[in-house]
Amino acid sequence: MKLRRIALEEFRKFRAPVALDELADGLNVIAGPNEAGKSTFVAAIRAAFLERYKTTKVAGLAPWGAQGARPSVEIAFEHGAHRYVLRKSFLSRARCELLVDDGAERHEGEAAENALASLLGFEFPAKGQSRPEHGGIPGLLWIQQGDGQNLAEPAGHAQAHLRDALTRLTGELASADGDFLYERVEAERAALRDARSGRPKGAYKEAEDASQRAAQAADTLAAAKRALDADVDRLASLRRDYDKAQQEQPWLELEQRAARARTHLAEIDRERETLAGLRRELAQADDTLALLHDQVERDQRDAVALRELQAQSEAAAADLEPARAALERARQLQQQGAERLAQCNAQVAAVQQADQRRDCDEQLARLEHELQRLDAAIAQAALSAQQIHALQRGAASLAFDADSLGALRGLEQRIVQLQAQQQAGATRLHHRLQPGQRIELDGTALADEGDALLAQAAELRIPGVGVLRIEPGGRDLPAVQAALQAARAERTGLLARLGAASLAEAEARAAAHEQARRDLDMARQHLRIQAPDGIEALQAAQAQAQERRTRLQALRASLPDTPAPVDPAQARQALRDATAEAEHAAQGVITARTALDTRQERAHVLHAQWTARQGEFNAAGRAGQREQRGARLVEARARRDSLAQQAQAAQAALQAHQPELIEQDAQRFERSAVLARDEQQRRHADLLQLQGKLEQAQAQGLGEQLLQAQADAQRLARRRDEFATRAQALDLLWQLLGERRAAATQRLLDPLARRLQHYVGLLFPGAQWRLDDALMPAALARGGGDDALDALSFGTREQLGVLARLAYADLLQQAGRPTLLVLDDTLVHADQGRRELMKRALYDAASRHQVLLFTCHADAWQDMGVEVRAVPAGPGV
Amino acid sequence: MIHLIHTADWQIGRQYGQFDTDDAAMLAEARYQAVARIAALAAERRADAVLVAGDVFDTQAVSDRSIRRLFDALAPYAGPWVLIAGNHDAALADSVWSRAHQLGCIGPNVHVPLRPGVVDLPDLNLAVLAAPLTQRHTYDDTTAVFDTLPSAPGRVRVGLAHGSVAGRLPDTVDSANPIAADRAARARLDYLALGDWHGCLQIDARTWYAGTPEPDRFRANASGCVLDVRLPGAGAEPLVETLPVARYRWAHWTEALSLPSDAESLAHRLQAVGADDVLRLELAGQLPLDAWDALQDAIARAAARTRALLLEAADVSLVPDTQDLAALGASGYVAEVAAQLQALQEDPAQAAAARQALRLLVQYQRERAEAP
Repeated sequence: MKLRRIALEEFRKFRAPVALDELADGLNVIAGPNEAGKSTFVAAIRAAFLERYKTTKVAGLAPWGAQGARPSVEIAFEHGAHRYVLRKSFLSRARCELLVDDGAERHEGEAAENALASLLGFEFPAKGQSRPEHGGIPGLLWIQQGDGQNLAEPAGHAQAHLRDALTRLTGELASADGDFLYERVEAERAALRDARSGRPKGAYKEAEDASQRAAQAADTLAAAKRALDADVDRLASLRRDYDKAQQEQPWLELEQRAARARTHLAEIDRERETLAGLRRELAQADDTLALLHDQVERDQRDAVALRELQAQSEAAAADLEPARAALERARQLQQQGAERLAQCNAQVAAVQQADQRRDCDEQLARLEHELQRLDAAIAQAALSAQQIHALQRGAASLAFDADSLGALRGLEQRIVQLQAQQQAGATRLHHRLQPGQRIELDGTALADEGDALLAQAAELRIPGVGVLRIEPGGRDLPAVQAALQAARAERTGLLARLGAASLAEAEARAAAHEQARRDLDMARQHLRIQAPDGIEALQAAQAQAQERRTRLQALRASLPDTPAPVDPAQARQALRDATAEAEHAAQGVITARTALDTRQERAHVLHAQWTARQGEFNAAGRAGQREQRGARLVEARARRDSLAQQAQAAQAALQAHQPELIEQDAQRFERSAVLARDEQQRRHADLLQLQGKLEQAQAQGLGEQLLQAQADAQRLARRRDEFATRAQALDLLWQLLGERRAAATQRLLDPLARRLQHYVGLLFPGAQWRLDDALMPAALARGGGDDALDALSFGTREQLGVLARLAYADLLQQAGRPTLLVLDDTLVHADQGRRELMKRALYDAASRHQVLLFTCHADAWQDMGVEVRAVPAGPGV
Repeated sequence: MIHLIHTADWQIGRQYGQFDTDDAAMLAEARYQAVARIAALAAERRADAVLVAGDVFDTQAVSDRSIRRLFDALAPYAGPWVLIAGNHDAALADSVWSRAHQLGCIGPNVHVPLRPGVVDLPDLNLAVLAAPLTQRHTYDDTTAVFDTLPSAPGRVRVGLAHGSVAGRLPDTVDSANPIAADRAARARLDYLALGDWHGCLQIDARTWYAGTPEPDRFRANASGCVLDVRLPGAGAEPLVETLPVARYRWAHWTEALSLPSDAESLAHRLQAVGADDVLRLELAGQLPLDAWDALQDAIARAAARTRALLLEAADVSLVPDTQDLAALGASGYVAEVAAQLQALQEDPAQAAAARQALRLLVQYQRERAEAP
């Protein structure tokens, strides 16, 4: 398709008609500054083809502010072997006209538009403005400003055309059927298998689950049945054991054996008792034997003792002689000593007498002194005693009861108080009588002037007038009066007791008494000093002293006046020595005598003893008894030995029985019998329990349930297997279809892939497009990995967008579709290097397609080998 | 002349998991009906006794209802029934028999010996030497005791046992419950009524298997009968008559399909199957599409008529030719895929999936073509 001429009128800024004509076959570069109207031309081309002439949504095409504008556009183009002229006017008096081959054919209105649509490969909207999805091939190849990088959408909308072209080119049969089958298989498969995990889902899963559940249920029942069978077996064996035990009754035998053991034990006990008896007898025999043994021994000892005694007696007798001699000697010594002693004693006595005389004299002197003293003291004491007596008498006469005095004092005070009270409460009667008048108050005449205190009711007699009875007020007065009277009475009594007329007297008496007492005390003290122990003691002492004096005088008188012969000390010493000697000698005599006596005594005693013993020993019958005892001893010994033997034998026999073992046996058998009985009872209980349990289980019909469950499990497993086979078949089918389909698609895409490769190689040498199922470029593979288109930069995407469109255009052209490329200020984001590469691609493409390139950078496109035209300007704007 | 009915292996309670629920229910029900028919038959033929040689129930712990139903089904025949326990329903310490006793189902005319011994029927001058199984797994010959078991003098001795006669059965599995082949002679039995083998089978003149009265598996072993046994007297040989009593015929067809004509002849034969048939159809081979369609149609029709039809056609490969594919509208790579699948049908590893996939492809293409 080649545009030759584009004419606009009343189109946006072009109110007056403008035209762009003489468009070349290949590349047309139309440059103009901003707002020159480049985009208006592009819009006009779009509107002319893509918009319905009748549409009212193209008000934007009209010049600004113009009412009733009629934007019109005329495009002359060629395609195939035909020339076309399209005239369209919008808004007011909208029209559309398509002339083919200079009027050979003429289409108007919608017919014209529909023809255009089928020619160019786009659609009209049902109503309203044309939208991208209607763009079709023009929508793809006519790149609007700033829309170059958008490839997926316009390509998507043109997909049918692209596919159609590809199909035509590759000759691949329209595999619509294949797609349908593939989708069907995929859907069926998706119903059975989860997309991601490949596991069963939906009905398949249900079948699988049901099968599993049924299998589990069958297993559970099988296990229960097995348990039931085990119980049945257990019942059988339990019953067997029970019956067997019931028949054999092993506990009976055990009990019997236990009983036998017990009897055996009883026998052993008896034997034990026998042994014990023997042992007791043996003990007795031992005792008897011991006794007899002792007796015999005693007899023997007696004999020996007798002999000893005899010897002793004889020895003692022999001892007497020496003792006698000793005594004699001692007596002699004593005599000597006594003589000497007497001598000394006489001397000493003389000395003593002299001393004594001296002493007496001294003592007598002292005694005289003493006596004198005593006399004096006694006299004094007597005096004092007299004094005391007098004082005592005085004091006694003044005897006083202090307590009464105290009471009296108190009473006085109280009386005073009471009086005061009385006075206070009493009625005062002051009388002043006329002279010579008399009145009587309670019998007492009152005259002249005076006061009377009435403490109680009183009568006042006034002669000639009458009687006045005055009763004083005052509540307490009677009480006070009474108290006063009582107190007075008491006082009187006390005074009487005290023997005084008044308190003052009593006090005076008390004071006098006190004084008297004090005097008495002092006198007593005096006396004590003189005679601490009393006069009697003094007198006694005196008497004593007197007595002593008397004695002493007597004594002195008895003493001779001979002087001392020798030195007293010496004499004493001699005396002492002689005394000692004498003592010693006396002692010696005593000792000797004692010794002799003792020996005599001993000899006597021994002799007596021996005589007695002998008499006894030889007494009649004794010998005979001794013999008897000897004999009995022998007998007893023999008996004891035999008993001992018997006891030993019995013991051995007893031990041989091993009673401990028998006892253990008895216990063992008894316990075993009990256990056996218990076990049988337990068996019985278990049997009952088990029977009950089995009855219950039988009632449930477990066996039948199991068979049913197994049948169900079988059925469900079959169903599950059917699904499994189906799923597998679907997998296989899907896999094979997928493979084939992919291969077919691959072949289909081949031409497109090659064209794309051609172009992308100009920009990125060695890089590769990756196409997706929808024939869209999805990613760019260069160097290391794939870059998804979205991940590339804006500029790169724009460039790739343009290149892709060039490839599509090549493809569409090969399939005979019209391809016109319109680039409205595209590639503005290309850097210098990239722009150069893009220019190559454009130049190459332009050799096959007409390209209208609108740009505002005139100088950038000077090197394309074509004239850079200016946007036609209208006369004024 | 003592007239007995000999039957066995009623397998009451057996479930058929290989069939659909409804069909399985009907087949399970049929087993009770077989018992009712036997009772009616015995009454009609005025038999003296009915001997049931074991496996009355298919399992222990049957529901109470089933037990009651079974014993109620015996009602039409009043004469003595002698039932022994087999290996499925062994007379254990606690078993379906003890349960039946507890429920009070066992009438006075029904003898159920729980230990090997003699069931003496003096009115008939018949001594039934019964060897019920008392263990879940029995490895010794329970009939050995017959040799020494005395019966009242003059009685006709009939043995009743459950087990496999050593070496005389077509399928020699490891013989649990073995029975000596010459037991009848050794024990001086006039007749030995056996159960366990589900087919009706004569061992010798005096030893027979009655088989199950209602078939319960696809094995072709002549099941579905009871035996009418007449014993002339002590010592005389018994006269045995086979009476078919089964309701359903179980059949197993294995078909190899290599030519379309094979499919046709099969379809023709399928026309003959009816309401009392239980058919297992095993197909293998390869067919073109149209033949396959026709065969499927015939099978569907047959399935509608029969009691139950189990179809195993996984081993049938489809071989659509180019016309078929074109007719399906399978063009482009779809056709290639179809060809690929066709080839894969030969690969044993992927054959099953490939066959199924090919069928699905055909189905989907057809559906699309039929869609508006």
